[in-house]
Amino acid sequence: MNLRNLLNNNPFKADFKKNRLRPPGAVAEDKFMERCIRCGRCIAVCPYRCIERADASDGLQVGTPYIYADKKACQLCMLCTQVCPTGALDPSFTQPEQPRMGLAKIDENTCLNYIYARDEARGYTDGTALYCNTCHNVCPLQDSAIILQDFIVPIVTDLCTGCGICVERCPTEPRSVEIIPAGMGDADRAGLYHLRNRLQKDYTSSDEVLHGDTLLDEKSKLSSGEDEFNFEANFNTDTKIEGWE
Amino acid sequence: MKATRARRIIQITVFIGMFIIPLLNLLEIYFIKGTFISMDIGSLGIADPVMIFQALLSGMSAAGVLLVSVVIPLLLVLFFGRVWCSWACPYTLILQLAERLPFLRKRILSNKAKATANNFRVRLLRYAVFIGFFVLVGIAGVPILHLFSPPAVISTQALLLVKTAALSVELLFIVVILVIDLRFSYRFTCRVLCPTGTCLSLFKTSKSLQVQYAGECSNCGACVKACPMKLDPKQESGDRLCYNCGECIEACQDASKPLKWGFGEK
Repeated sequence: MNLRNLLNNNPFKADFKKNRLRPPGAVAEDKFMERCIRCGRCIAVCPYRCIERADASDGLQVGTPYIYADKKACQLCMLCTQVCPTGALDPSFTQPEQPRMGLAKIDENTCLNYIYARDEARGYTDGTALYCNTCHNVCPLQDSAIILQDFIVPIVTDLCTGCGICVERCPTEPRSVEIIPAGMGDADRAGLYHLRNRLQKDYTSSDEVLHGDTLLDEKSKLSSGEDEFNFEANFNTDTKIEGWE
Repeated sequence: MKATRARRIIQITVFIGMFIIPLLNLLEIYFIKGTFISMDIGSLGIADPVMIFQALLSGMSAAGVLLVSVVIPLLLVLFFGRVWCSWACPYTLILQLAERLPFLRKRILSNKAKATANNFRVRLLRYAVFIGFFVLVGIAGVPILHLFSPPAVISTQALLLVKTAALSVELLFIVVILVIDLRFSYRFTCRVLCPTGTCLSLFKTSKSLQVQYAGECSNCGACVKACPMKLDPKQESGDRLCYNCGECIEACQDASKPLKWGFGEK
């Protein structure tokens, strides 16, 4: 067992990059690298051509499937999980809500909606603020994976599948949202990535992601039934228009 | 119909099929999908046994692995021997076509004459290479034989070519082994290197389909000269190196037809 542990701690087995994801349903990265026989079936069946084959420059990962979220994000059709012959992609993943390929992380300094919220709070704008909402609009799990706090600030919840559609569509340059692949923040599993970035902070344990009760609280605020808004109109709304009714 | 012609037709069909399958997938027809590493026809899984075995070694568990998919290839070997290599493998087709090029002919004939007919040494080297590959998989902890199996590399590149209109660096491996086979050592890949071929031949039994030698003949040596594996069909027809191409049967000029197909040793 000791020899096996020694051999299994090969740091080249786990390498991570932001916005570079395994297909949906992938088991943990080290297990994935052991199981995947690089047969290319998932690449063959992907109807959106978003799964790409890692080439020789990716080292030991050569031949394995990757999804590059900034190029072509996963559309969560879940065809690939059904064709994997070795269980590297778990066939029990059939619903688009199930996979956890990674977690979206929104950059508060460049996201247009965050700038909008800050500008609104301080009362003046320098012109970059924009009510963008793109990530919220394109998210396949709208209002559960990304919710709009106070109808302005997009917040990622733990229901995020990491499909990367928000990254693909983010209009800012550089993109204000990126996907942190699952396992990237886990020092025991992040292998080569961890060795390279020993001093970097752990992104996935960030407070920006909502879990459990806080998530439920935020989602309950989304209903528009409780709060009654008093719009003050500067014209008379009581008069009946002739010919109506 | 001569066996060689039937063989060539099947080889070319398989070669074209390699490009047709990803094309069908592009049209969203998923009845048949995959590469020669692992393929689905309907709900029937077929996989290269050596690829599945290396995944068992690197993953150290059979959890989730489609072990069923090695059944069809292994049954094929049990009944008909290593026919995949001679009747279907795309690399064999490419090699055989390249060997016909006129400017290579002289070199190949001299290489073939020089190649050792001492099959004990070939066998030893072959199994050493095969075990070496598995040790490499064990050290890396990751399945890597998809880089060293010629049919796997060729069919993956065909998939890439159709799906993304690009090729990857791994194709260099095919170029390298082609140069070795054509320039330096006669049929080195099929006789020694190929992990898929070695793995398949391990499951051949003495009851499998093989060339049988019956009785007397004129000992002209035409069959020995014809054999692409440098075997002597009169004595070594049941050898694990034999890939049942049938070229010795066709080369035989003897009127009494001492060589013929048959199950088991005669």
